[in-house]
Amino acid sequence: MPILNIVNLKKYYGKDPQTTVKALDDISLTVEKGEFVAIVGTSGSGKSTLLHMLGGLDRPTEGKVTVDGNELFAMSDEKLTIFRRRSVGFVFQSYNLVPILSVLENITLPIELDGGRIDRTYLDEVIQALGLQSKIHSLPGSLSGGQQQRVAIARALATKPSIILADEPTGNLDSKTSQEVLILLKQMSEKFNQTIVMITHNESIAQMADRIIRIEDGRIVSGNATPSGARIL
Amino acid sequence: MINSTVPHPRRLRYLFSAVFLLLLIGYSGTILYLEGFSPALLQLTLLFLIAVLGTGALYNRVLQRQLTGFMDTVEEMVDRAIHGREQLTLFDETRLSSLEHKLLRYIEMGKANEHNLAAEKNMIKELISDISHQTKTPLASVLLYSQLLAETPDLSPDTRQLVEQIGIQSEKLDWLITSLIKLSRLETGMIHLQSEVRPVAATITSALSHLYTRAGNKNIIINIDCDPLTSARHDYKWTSEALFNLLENAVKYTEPGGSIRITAEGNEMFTRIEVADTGIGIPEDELEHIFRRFYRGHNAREVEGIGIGLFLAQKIISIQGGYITAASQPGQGSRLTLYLPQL
Repeated sequence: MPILNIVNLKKYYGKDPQTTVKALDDISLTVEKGEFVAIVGTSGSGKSTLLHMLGGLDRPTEGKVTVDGNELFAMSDEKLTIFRRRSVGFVFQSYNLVPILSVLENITLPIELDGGRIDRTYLDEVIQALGLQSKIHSLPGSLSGGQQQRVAIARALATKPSIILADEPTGNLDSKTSQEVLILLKQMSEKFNQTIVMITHNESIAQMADRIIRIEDGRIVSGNATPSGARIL
Repeated sequence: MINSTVPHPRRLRYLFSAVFLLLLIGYSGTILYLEGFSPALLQLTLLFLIAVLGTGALYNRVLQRQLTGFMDTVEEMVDRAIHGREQLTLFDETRLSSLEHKLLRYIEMGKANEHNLAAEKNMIKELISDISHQTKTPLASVLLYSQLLAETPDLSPDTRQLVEQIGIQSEKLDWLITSLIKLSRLETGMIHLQSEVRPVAATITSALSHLYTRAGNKNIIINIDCDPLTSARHDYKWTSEALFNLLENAVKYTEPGGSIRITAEGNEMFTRIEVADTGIGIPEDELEHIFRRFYRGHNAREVEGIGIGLFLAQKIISIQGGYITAASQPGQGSRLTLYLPQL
């Protein structure tokens, strides 16, 4: 069952046809539920622009993005914000944790912002799986980079979103910790059948994904195929 | 889509306020016009209005509380359904209650579907397991008879070669079937792994013990760099088997005179055991496929094997909450890293 569908997505900057920058040039892509997809490209290839479109952070020049049956850019800004809060989990390179809140408060923040009830059983499972049990009352400042990113992953999972978007999640970590965080991210995607789209420029990090999509000059150059039977069996 | 047919709550509130104000102005205007300015009447009207508004607000609160309570029940039901806990059943004569029951029925239908699918899946897995199991006995006979045949004294060289081939192929088939049985048992959860925190050094040694002779025959040097205290949560027997598969590959694909280096160290969440060899290596475009079932590299064609060792190893390790990654420089060697959880 596809959870994410992108059809002929274009984002052009500048009106003059001579100087137009094509950040995204006619991208079409489908991601199945529970898939862990890596989008690889050099800086300036358009991968960040693509991720912003998927999260409804920016509007395209042309094209459609459908997440879990909701067409993103047919919504008003207000609805898009609510949609983002409920259905999209973000993991950023710089963790973006609130320094004055404890780990547990950081994780439950998006649920509380939405006025929802906290599902303790699920939350405990997530915290356990990410090895954060002993840290839930600590402040983010006292944690290592790897631990902070694990908190950010738990926060992204907390609302049970339709999709998790990870923007260079290991960009600030050393290579050993990067591998660890990636293993955890992959395990989360399998354990909770969570769809994850991750952008990175690191090939060895991307290898852990079920599918690697390469993007260059705003176009997909490889990887735009449905996953093979390896995952089905 | 569904939302668009229901007016926005804020707009609805404005509408009601406007209607109320209009009524108020109309009423006051009419009174002033008919009766002139009369303080007693004004006071009475004011009191009456406050009383009406107060009752209205109170009623509104009660309704809202009921609605919140209902929402909580529904949310609780959905949570219970997600975690497979027993459902609370409430019986009373309201539409809310009937909606609850509809939701309950829907959840039960979903559960029944899930159950059927799981049963079907198990049947297929059992079938695979049966097939693998039932072929074991005849295969053992084939192996035995081919050995007996090979012991016959007056065989022509041609026949002897053919008999040898039968032996080799049967052994290959035997290993394949054994692996498939293990896989299906792991996947169906028929095997319960005894994971506990223990030092990895013993596990590495156990995996290596079956390979010393083969490495020795090829003149391959094996170095181990592992602190005896480095530990991880793992099942001794199965992890040793996974490691054996990694090490066997390393021995198989390393030229005589090469070396294999095993390093173990703990990090934040995982303990990593790295097996680095100086073998033929794996081309970059094949790296992401090597853990697939029956995948064999293009350079690996000449070497005996069926491509199930790494798949099985990955399965064993991921069941234990770990993972195996691969990196390589073609021509210079490969590096397979096994990550095991520490807690």
